[in-house]
Amino acid sequence: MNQSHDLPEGSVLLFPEGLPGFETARQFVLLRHEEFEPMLLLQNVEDHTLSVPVIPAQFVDSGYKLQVPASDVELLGFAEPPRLGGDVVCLLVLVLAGQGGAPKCNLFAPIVINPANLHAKQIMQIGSSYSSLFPLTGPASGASPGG
Amino acid sequence: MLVFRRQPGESFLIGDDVEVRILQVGRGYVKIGVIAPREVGIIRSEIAGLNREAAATDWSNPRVAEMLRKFLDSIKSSRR
Repeated sequence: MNQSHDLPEGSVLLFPEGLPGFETARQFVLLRHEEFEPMLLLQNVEDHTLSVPVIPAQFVDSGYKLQVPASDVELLGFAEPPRLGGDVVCLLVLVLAGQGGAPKCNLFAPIVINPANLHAKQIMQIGSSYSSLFPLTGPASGASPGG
Repeated sequence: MLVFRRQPGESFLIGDDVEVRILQVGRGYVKIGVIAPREVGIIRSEIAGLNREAAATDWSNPRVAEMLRKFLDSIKSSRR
């Protein structure tokens, strides 16, 4: 099962506005990490030392409600606002603290990819109650509230 | 750092085309509205910080691998 994405191997993703925290980094590829599937590494094309661990949203919350504002629908080239389960790739940034404790993920700002043109953006879910630091202790359908 | 006071409903400008308005002040929070051109990216600073923290993951730390494996195993087993 490859629910992680339907992108051809080695696809270069373009972040027209960069990735927050790394605004000059525009091009990334998704790499599988055999040991830690379904986690993926979002690796910068220009600087291979820059990689961010991510996980497809559906593995964390099968009922995740993605909201893409009209301006980003246009920026990413979608014909209509994408929904999880449709023609969109939605990834959550994994934050893995070195001192132990449950890994956390950013439900508030998923990375949204249009598989048709490989354009991507990290989009804040304004108005939602999704947490930017949601603790991952196991599968959590309906992991919505958090702050 | 420029510091000044604003009341709810008041605003200030950054440059010619970015307006920041104080909408509401509650206990321990401030609700802010931003009017800006589309090309001006607005992102909560903690999002950038979390991305940097994620990118700095210490993969050589056995506790990181252990906790991650535990979580991934739990979601895999739930899907069987």
